[in-house]
Amino acid sequence: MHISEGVLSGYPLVVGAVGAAIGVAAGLKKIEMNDIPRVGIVSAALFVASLIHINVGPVSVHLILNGIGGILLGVQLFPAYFVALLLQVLLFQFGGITVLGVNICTMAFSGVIGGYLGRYVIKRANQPWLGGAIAGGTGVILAGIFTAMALIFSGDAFIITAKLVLLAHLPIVVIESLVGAFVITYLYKMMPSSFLGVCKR
Amino acid sequence: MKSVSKILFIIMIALMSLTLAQPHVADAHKLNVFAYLEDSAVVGEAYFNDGSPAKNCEVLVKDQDERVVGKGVTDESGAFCVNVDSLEGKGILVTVNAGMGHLGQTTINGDASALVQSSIHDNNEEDKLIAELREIVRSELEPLRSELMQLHKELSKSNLSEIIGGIGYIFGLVGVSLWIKERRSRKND
Repeated sequence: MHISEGVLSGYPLVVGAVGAAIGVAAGLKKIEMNDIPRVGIVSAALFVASLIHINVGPVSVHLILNGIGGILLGVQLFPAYFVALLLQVLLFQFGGITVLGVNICTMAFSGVIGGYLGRYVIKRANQPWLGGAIAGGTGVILAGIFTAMALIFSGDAFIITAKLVLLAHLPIVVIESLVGAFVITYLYKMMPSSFLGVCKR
Repeated sequence: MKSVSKILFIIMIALMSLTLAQPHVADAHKLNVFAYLEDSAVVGEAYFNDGSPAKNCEVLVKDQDERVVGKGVTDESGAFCVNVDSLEGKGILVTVNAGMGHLGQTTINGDASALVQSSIHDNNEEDKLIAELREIVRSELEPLRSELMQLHKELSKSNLSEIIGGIGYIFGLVGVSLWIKERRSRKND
């Protein structure tokens, strides 16, 4: 879901850059001293997750983890994504500097929404696995929708793009919600302190 | 409650194995293009950074004035061959579009083939000799080219040391920001 350089037209690029700047600023403002290590760990996880391709049968998949990051960090996901994606651009030429804003927006914004949804479910139903699954799935679906929107605003044909995005994301949605369920259940049991500040049990 | 989660878990596993049966759709990151000029055609290969080929993707060849001089489609192994009438000058842009924001580009130099073509005379004997020579050179170059291609593919994979280096950068940033915050909070006290 990294959009390459030279695909998008000016309008989505500007909107993405402005949105990313606002998000990163808002996230940085919310980061307290105690949050820094957590933001760093999640950022490292985001950085690695999309680099490692695992071959499951005939399909090569990689994790995105934006919804899980959203549960753990909230708005602080924006700076975490900023660091992770910037490093991917600099080290591996994934994406590009001009599309960095758009990529941050699509991934982090969807992750934050998914994360808040997951938190709400955890708080209400007290089922961490359900919250994790919902956050993981929602994060990927929204990321796909936002990516498709950026492409459509740049002149891609609506139906073809929407179909392609849907097809490509279906397996990832399932895998991501599964991983989300496992990770959040585990963290909830092992490190409830990482949820104390966010969920107010 | 526990049995409900167990059933859901089984459904999820079943769904996952179902989706895995679907054909591979482009979800990789970086699209790499490797291309060169051969006679009056641009020949090359497009592949994702995990080494899988970019199948059935649109290929565009533009000259240095941004005019489209040739169009084509990659085959099942990611290879393409686009016929172009005339290519001169540097900076010929070969673009492969795999859709969904995946775009790969490379620039090739058109000068070399122009030189060869302009040196062809009317003399028949000489013509034949040159054609034969080119055939020989091409067959000699073939293994080299495939080796180069292999090397390109190897290089485009993200290797472990770079990934670990990236994690190191992030940890370093965490340290720096902790240090700055610490200093600030101490100043305020």
